Amino acid sequence: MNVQCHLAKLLTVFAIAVALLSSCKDEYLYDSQEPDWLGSSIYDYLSSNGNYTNYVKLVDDLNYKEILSLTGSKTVFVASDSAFNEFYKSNSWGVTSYDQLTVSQKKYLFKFSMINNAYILSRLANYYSGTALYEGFAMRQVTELNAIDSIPFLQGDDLPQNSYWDSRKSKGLYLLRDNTDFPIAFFTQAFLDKYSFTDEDLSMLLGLESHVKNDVYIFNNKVIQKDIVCKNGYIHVLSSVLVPPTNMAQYVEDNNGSDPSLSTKIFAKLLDHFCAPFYDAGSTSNYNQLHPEFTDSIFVKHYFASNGGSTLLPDNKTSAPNLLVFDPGWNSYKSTNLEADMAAMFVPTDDAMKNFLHSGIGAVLGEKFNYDWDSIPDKIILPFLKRHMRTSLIESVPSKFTKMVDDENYALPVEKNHIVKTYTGVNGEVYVTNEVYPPVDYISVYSPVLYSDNSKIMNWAIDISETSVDGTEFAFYRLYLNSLVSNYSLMIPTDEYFDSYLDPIAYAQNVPAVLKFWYDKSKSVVNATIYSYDKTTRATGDSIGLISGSSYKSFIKNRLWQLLDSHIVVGDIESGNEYYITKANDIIKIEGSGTNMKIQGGQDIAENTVAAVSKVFRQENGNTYFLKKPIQPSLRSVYKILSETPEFSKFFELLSGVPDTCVSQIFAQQGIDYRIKFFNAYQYTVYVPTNDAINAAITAGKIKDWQTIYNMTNEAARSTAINKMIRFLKYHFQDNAVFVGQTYNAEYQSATIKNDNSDTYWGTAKNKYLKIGVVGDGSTLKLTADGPSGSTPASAEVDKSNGLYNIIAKDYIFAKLPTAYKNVDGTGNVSGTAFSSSTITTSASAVIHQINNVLTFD
Amino acid sequence: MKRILNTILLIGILSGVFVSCDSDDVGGNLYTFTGEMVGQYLQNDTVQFSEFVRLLDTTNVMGLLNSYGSYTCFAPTNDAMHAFYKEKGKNSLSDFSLDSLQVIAYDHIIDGAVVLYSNFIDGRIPEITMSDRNITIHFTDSVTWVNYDEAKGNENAYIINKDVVKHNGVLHVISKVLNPSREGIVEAIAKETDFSIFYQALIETGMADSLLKIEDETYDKTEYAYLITKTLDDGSWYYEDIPDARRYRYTVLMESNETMNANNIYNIEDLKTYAAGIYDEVYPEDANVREITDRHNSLNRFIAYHLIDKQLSKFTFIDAYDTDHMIRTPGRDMYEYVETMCPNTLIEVKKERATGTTNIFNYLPETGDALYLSDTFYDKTTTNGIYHEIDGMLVYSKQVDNMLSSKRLRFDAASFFPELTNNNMRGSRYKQNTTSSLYDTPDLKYQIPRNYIARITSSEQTVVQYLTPYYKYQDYEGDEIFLTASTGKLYDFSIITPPIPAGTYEIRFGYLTNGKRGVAQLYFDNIPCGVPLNLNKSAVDNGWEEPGSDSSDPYGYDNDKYMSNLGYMKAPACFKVIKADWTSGENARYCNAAIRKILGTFTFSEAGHHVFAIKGLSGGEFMFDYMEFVPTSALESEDIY
Repeated sequence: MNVQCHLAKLLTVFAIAVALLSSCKDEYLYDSQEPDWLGSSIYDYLSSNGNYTNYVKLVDDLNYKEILSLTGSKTVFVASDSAFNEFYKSNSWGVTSYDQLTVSQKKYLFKFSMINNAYILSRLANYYSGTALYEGFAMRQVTELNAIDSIPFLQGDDLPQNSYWDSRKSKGLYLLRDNTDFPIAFFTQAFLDKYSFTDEDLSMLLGLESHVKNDVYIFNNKVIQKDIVCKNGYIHVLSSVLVPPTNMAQYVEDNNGSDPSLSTKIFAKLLDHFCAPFYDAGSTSNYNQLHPEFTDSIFVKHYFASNGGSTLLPDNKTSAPNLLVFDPGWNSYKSTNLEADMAAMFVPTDDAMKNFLHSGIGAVLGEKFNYDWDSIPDKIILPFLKRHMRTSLIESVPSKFTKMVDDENYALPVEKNHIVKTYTGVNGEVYVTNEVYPPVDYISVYSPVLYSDNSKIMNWAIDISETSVDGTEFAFYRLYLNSLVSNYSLMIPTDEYFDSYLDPIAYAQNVPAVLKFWYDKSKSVVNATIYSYDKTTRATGDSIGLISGSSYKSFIKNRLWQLLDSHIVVGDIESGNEYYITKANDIIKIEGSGTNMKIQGGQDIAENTVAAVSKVFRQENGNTYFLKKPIQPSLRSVYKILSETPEFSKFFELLSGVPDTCVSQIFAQQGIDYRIKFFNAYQYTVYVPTNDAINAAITAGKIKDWQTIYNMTNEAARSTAINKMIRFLKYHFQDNAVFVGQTYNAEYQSATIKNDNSDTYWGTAKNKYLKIGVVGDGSTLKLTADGPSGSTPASAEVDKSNGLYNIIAKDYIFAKLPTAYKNVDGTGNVSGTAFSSSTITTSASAVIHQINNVLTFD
Repeated sequence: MKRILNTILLIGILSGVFVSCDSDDVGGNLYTFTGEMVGQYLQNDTVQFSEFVRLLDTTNVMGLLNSYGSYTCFAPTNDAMHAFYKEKGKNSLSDFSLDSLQVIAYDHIIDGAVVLYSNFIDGRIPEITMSDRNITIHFTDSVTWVNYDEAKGNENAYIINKDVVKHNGVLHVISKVLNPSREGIVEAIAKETDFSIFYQALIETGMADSLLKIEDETYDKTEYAYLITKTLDDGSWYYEDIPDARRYRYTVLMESNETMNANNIYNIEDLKTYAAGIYDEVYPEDANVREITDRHNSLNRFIAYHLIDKQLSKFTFIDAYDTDHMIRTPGRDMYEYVETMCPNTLIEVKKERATGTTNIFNYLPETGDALYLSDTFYDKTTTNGIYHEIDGMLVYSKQVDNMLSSKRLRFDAASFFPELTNNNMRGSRYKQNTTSSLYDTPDLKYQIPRNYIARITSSEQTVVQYLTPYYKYQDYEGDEIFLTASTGKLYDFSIITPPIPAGTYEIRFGYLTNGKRGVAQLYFDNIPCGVPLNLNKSAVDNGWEEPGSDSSDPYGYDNDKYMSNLGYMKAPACFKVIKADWTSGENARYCNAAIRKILGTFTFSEAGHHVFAIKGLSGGEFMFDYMEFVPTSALESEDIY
């Protein structure tokens, strides 16, 4: 009777049995007789066949003859004598004949080949989760191999290098690499189909030349004969002897033999930062029962991990400070069910690890830590390791490399050609790579801030975090700056130069002040010392206060986040332009490039100060510039500049002449003094006609002066004139800052809305802002106004004769007027709130140019 | 012998197939009921329905109508069936092929929805029949017509007896067999002789070729059944479903020859001249493109502007989204913006509260000009689309461009995606329930398979859902796009917006917080929109105060400015939650969970599509209710609605 026939009958009986058992009443047919077709036992089959003498010897020597002859339902993966002969020719144990096998080795070979249930090969991929049967979903099954079958005694340099092992180095210890079950890993066609594994996937995983459909492999060992039916189980014949692989951690540690260029010792040592010996009472007791002469203690090596391993230190009380995603030495690794999946790790070779620290983006880290991975603190190493550890092999096979993201949702840029070696361990796949995959913290513009010793103030601001709904901490600016699809220029005033920040709210009060931010290492917080400031002499005086402590964190955060926004440009600041707009809508001026770069904010230009670049870091998503001074944004509002510049006086008179009764005002009391009422958080240009131009326009009747308007007796006519004047004035305010010295040829929106359907020069439709045409040729700006179609539009040009162009203003909005707060020294408004509660809300920036003509549009 | 038993026992345990030994349980799975099924009702009334019953039996549909479910059956009488045989030159049912009988049977049954007479609307019923067709209703004073075709006059089917409510659905008795056209939309338009000029241009421009697709045959619903984790039978406040197909559907708006003639257009050459007069002004750079099959040619643009890749009936242009969430008082007019096949153009559809007028196309406030659907020629249904007569020349003129680029454009998130409309997800509620309020429990959440919606690109671990309007959602038009990821994973997706005219816009994104939202980095056209957004922060955390709570700011306008400075806005006052529970407030402006995030001010130098990308940074949900593009020139005069 052939195998299939046996099987069919067995299944028939099984079906009958199920039916009968289901009723729980009828007597079982085979209670008193054995079916004659069921064949021999596993043992009888193997021993009578003659091709499995080595395997049978293992059974005999280990006293499993009775088990495989009589009881139980087992599945065994056996190798023929010829396979054993090949094994004796070459194996990692150096064994050349059966006689040389130790008892431990025999146990390894035999117990790992046996599963404690009967599986035909096509059912091997089925598993029962406890609540449901999953067909075709399994890739692992636990074998009979026991952890305590072999326990090495280790000491000295054989032990990991961290403080938890120090006390054991001299006296040594019996150490289990792991004390959990050893599963086999296998790949059936049903499983491969279910998860869309490609042939290439399997070939790469197992190191095969190719994979033929329906071939089944136990690790990389092909099943050459399947489903030999015995009355107590099934036999599957493998192409070679099944030697238990190690787990991933062990492999990474051991992988330094055959090809030193593929050694992974550095990564293994980093993993060892996160492990410790734990006393294993269970294994000690079990081993002692088997070996009464053994009186020592058995320890097990656990990695500190969220899944598997230990979340506690060896005292079993203290929480481990840094947890890996999972314990890479955990044989029985599981995410949900052991059978369903296993882990994977991308492990860079030593060469790749060294190269990373010596060149490119990793050099920041290398320089800081003397090019020695082992010197890098655990807190920094942890995200590196986590990024290389994958919880699911199913999601990490080569055909899915392009879809892999890490636990922070960043792509993991593994390419197939990075894989130089693979190893299928009992708990996961190790991909040895010629690349490292640094976490985003290592490669983004944030990286130099995170890893430098003199950027702690800005790092503190960037790292301020909140707790999200799922309990994860998220730091707004860190995540923002870690966005790899963006390109940033991040400017960081280093700690030693953080001593003279002119606070805009204090600047607007009677007691102006500068703030010196400093990092309190003992409490890991940033404080601010307040110094008096003389606006006239621009001299910093004595210390007059301190803002510190957790209750003031919101103040420091508010100011540093404002500062941070003023120091971030989305885009490149070395593209050749002179002016750039920051995230805070500030206008900054750039001169030079790289470490020769000089950066000025609006106030720097006014005071002729410069933030020089001390260091440049070219990162994955932009450049980080360390500065010798914070960039000081303008402290002058548009109102301030217009009101204090004599050459702007006529225009300012018109702007400030809008009757109080009018809803449409130009200025609103806000910020340091006044702000342009219709500005949003954006950047603008203000064109200021010369006093002569204003006078000429009045003389020519293009506009009326306010006095003439005020004197109009006809209410309707006066209202119309007021409205016309306001529209005229607002037409000189333009969206988008444009600068003398840069090139433009575009139309921009003014702040005056077109209110009729007439055709215009720039084709502006009703209810849209009238436009201004701007042509910048590098030396001046020429403006062409909107106007009735068919007539010559008004035009103007920047008047550079007085040097009144590219003047930078900033209109702040504070949560309250500065007078609503007490002064920095506690003086001032008696009913005001403390200065430390003051908040900068938002701001707009403007560049002001004097022009030689008024801009009219009708 | 015990050994063998043990072996088999073990195999049994491994296989997990052992059934319970408690035989009494078997009876527990059976049920009985006394209500009559739709099928039984038909079987019991042989006088009226014996022929229709034969049809249902022959095609094996009867079993369906005798099973649990929700069905709407339009049942033709025996007279109707016999008249149909005669009309088709047959003597009896047996003279038809089985395939054609199945289609006829399917034409009469809506599976999955109970559509009562009170749910009928004048026009197309949103729910589709088993043959993938829509049934249209036409009310007259005395008769309710079904699939009314003007040419047939009184020979059309009408309702003889309505609302025969049975245990598993409802039955409407009709006077004629429904035999909808099997033509594609182009084929059907070809026969409309009153629209010959339009048709000729449709063909000669080659734009007819854009109206040929019917269904994505590669979409297999069964592959995505695993996405459903909550069924109707679970009795929860919601249940999940997946799209049953991935249909392509079209809408064509056409001018009749008469309308053309009134604009001095008598032939295609006249139409070319007319189109050039309009489009050369809008696209002067293309004025010399003569080849009418070129998408930049003016006639091509003219025709393309009449074509929409969504199936929009008279009801689903805008009325279907005017859910009970919408506040219908004057001033709160509703707008829908529909992308056409003319590149980067929109049609505005307005519903005016003050007059109750709906389907107002491209209303120009300056002139009062607008277009409307014909009173008589609309909802012409074909296999893959629908066509209507429009009562004037529909053009994307300079005036229309100006109108659209100088006002707030608010898009309901679901309006971005034609797939939701074409596959009966957006604008339909009958599937959920048939109570008087269509938005009661249970809500229906569609699990959208990855790549199902062409304009959503999402990572493998992102779960995309469309949540249909529900009475406890404080959502614009009641619905939302909902995104999440399984535990321990993070979502990552991007959405392509409809085309936006050139201009400078403040762009806002409207959402609802609920204590379960996550943190995400938002990008617009690849530019990060500030630091990450914690969607879990309530409106209060972002500066919101309930209007009226501060006597010095009775309407909350000062608070509006304050929030705006922080980068947020209250939600518009044009919608509300129907049933206050999770959130409340007389309208969304008063709701401390509804909020708009200002993404920033962006200048678009030309009209076009944009990409809104979201990268999850923590666990938790993301929801997307609506998006606004507000020209900066419209900010000062913007209302709170």
